[in-house]
Amino acid sequence: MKEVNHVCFRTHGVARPWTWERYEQVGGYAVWRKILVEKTPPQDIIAELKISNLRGRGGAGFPTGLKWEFMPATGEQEERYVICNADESEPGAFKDREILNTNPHQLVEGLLIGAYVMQARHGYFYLRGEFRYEGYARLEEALKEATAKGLIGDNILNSGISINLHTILGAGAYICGEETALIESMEGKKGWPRFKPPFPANYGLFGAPTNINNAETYASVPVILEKGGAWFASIGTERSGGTKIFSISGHVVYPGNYELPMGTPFKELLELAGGVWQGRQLKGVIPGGSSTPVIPGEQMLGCDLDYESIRSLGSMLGSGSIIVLDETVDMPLFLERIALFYHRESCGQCSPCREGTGWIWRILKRLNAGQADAQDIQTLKRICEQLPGLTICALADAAALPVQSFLKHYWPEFEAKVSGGATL
Amino acid sequence: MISIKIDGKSVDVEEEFSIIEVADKLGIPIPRFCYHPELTVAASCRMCLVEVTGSRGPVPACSTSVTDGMEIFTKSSTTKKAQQSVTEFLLINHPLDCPVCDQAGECELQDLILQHSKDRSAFREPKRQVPNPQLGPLIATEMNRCIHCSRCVRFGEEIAGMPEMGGISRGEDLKITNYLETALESEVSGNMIDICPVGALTSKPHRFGGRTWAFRSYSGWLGHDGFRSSVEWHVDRGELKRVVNRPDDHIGIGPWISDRDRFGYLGLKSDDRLIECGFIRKKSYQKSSQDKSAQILAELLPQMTRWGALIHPQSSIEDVMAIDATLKKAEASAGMALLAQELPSDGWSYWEEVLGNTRPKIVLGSFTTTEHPLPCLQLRQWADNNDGTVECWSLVSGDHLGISTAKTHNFSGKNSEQSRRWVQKRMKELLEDHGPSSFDLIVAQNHISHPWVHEWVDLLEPLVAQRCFWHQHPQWPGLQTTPSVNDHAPDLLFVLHSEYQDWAQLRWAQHWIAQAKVLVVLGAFRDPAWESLSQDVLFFPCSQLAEQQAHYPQSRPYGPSICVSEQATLPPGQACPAAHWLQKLFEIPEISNEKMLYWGQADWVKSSTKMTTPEVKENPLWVIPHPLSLDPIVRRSIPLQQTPWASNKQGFWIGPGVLPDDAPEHGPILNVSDQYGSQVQAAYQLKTELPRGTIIYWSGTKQQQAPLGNSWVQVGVL
Repeated sequence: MKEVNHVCFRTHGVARPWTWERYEQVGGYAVWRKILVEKTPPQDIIAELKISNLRGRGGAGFPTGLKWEFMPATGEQEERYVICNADESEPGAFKDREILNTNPHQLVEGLLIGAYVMQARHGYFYLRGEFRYEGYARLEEALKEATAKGLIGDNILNSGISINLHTILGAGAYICGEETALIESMEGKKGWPRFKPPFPANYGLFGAPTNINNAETYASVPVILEKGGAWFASIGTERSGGTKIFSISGHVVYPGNYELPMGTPFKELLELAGGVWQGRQLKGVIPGGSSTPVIPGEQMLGCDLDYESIRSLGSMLGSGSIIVLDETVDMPLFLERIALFYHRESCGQCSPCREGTGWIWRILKRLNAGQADAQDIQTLKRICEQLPGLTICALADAAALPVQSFLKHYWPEFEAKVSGGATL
Repeated sequence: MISIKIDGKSVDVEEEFSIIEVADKLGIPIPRFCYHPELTVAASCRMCLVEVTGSRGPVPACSTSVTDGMEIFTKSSTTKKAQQSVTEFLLINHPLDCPVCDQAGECELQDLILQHSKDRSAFREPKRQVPNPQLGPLIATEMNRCIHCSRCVRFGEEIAGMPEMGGISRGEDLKITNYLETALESEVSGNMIDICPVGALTSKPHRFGGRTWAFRSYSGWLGHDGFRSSVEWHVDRGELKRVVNRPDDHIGIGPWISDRDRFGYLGLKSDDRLIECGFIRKKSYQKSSQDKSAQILAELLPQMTRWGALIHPQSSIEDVMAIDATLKKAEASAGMALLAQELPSDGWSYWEEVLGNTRPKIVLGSFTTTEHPLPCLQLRQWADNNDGTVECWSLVSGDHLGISTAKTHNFSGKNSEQSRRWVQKRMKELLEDHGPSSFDLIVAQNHISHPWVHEWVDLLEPLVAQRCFWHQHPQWPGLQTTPSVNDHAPDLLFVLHSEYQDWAQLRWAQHWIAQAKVLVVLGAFRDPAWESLSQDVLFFPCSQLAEQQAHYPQSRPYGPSICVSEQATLPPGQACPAAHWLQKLFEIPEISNEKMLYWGQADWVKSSTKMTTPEVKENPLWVIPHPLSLDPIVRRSIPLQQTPWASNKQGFWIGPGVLPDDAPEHGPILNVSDQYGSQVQAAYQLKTELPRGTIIYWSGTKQQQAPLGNSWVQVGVL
């Protein structure tokens, strides 16, 4: 079995892994202290990140080094911001939550490095509202400790570098995980995504250049810089570097977070999680959170967990939130619940999403209630083909793509509901 | 310049344009809902999606800038599929009640349905029901029809400067509504009716008033707000149905008109129209015929040696020239006097210059957005474009003209000495920061009538480079007389298009009216005040605005100097243009179009108004002509009078220090008399936001006729 918990979970293995002492013990803040002393040129750090092959962990998988490089070079006077996106709201995703709970200091160190590289004087953690009850207090505590040790603030350890970090709690809207909606929400407005271009790197928070990365991305940075980009890259596959937290949930014996090398076969992860529970058969897997298309079990069992392999099966690795469905799952009913989520979380700005997400859910609801005919599933199929690509953000796509995949792989179950029969 | 290809046609365009702007210029139709050229881009309706080479999917034409070598396809199958999809989503919850919708026929959604949609909907779910917010007497709502384009929301934020509409809730529950269901207060809110692309916001007075495709359209000009706006009169089978704006590139203010111009037309339908000739002899009113009235006039004329006229600024050039020609027939003429407060006659002439420079502005005004809606829009635009500094000084708590960066100051509770000291102090600060002659001073019409402001205008001289006075009435260059009370009053007095309350607060006019032996009232309405006079009065029913073809002077320094209005409908009863009556009665020649062009050079009394400083007293009475009751027509437009702005401003407003400390906050009757002895009784409200000792009287509404001057007062509570 492969080694686990190298990077974001490197403090694991002891009681109270979130403490300052534990983080120092595993080498925490060493990179940050080194940067403060050596004044490492930012381009060197970016070069190291590029070597590491680290790709954005929020779901899109955009190369992080490149994203940091996109921040325009401007005068020192100009305000710029870095934001850590921990608005983890996708059904099935719970990796940022565990980072916040068990290793908040690494997140702080990562954001400090990001702020240093991108010359921001202020960095923000944007936490989903529900984290108020767990991760928030630990992160605040970590910030307090790091500030007390002089690692955050003005003129940090007499280096001439000033960086302040702040936490912001969302109000529980899924859409605020979209980076421009997150910015709007931080500005005190309604969480409505902005149209792009301009991208946040040019026009972000309060109109200033802004970089937004996922919490897992930031948490990976200190370890990459400590052990070297080449080390990180060597863990993963050729095109997806490093380790990745896979949050496996659903019908497995041991659901939870597993930090594994990119490219780990799904079969291995399933074994780590104790296999499908109650000795049942694997029916299907949603590989990257509820917005990604479902993959039938037999296909998934032969698949490796990296961006490219999963793409080849017509789905996406997304945030690595794997939902395992066993043979008893009523697929149309399961899909109805997913559709309800996207219907409720649509922000209402773009017409197709505002109207379309509700329509999808209502058809599925009628279908499950035995009130739909064959024409309804044809309509469902048609509107889910029409919906993607019309809107400002990807929420409409996220609502439509799963439906498309369920209809593709489990069409007979939907047909069976039309005729009123049992699905299994 | 870059070169792009649109539908196979190569064109060179400037870089900063969006696809939709280029297409609009070339006349290539792209459907849109949220996009409006005067508003910021929202890119949320997704209707304008078009296919572009190099893009993964269709892109919104409103938010995508053209780039060199870009190829755009507005009619390709990808574009068509995207637009059809969006149309389908927009329609599923739309009620499709076009047969009972006022917007039908001019609805952008309806046009699209005809282009893109199938005759049956695939949507089998129950449609969404949205409650209708109450927006006041002007705008009717049917929010089931709303497609959430947010044009009305952005209009309030960006143009009107009063964010009165907003979107609440998320997703499918998103509702466009107003805050706390209070009626809209903006004086330009009617423009939301025009920019709403569907039937969600429609005209309330016009509701179910007719089908748009049946209307005949006539072009006209209206100036109920000081600026003449180009409008269209819509008429169905001879009946005036509504007024909409007619965008005119010359005007430089965008396609906006004030609510007074949009809804004022309802006053023409008032039930107290003067529809037949009549006269009062020995204090009793009698109906008459044209011949009989002419005969009576002919009998009276020999005893009348000195003729004069009172003219309302809303009159047409024809009518005024006819009066001029008539007065020339008299043995002696007292001249024509125009209703106007004591304002320099060249007020607006500097407006273009004031807007054209980047100097910071001081605005002296308290209810300015309502009194001068369109200039305020322009000033706000100026502040946006130039990052301009605006200081708003108001006697009553602050109107910041919707300019978020404006510095406001008010003089609540201060007496004249304290206020003057503040002005001096602030001027010193501004002089130190900006230097002499560094500001433009704008004085709203009603403010100049306040004795303190009179003084400050002179006081501010060193700081001010250019003064500009905002008039509430269209201006008549060359016709701005304020006769002295001591002048000989006329024996025969013509009263053109005005009512007694239009003149009520002007001492000289009262003097003229009191001294006249015979009054010839040429007007559109019956005003009971004339009927209570002891002299002989002859009434001739006249047409107004849409009921006559006429020329009007332009009041702003843009566009044509003369505005030609078409006749849209027939006047009621015996009414005809006042000029026609005068031609018949006095055999004056018809006014030729050629002559009309030179009206500005006519040898009318040209003495420009000198502002006389009233004595500054501790109890100034501030008579404010009610902005929504400026002339006989607007005064009779019931929906306008029901707006919160109009209905909240009644009777006396009493500042601190006028009444005893233990006086109740509201009082039924207050008796106020000015130094000339005129008395008025009306209900009062105490207003702590007024300067100390100040009394406001809202004059000019239908209920309130005030023979009070702009002066100090003695107060008595009855």
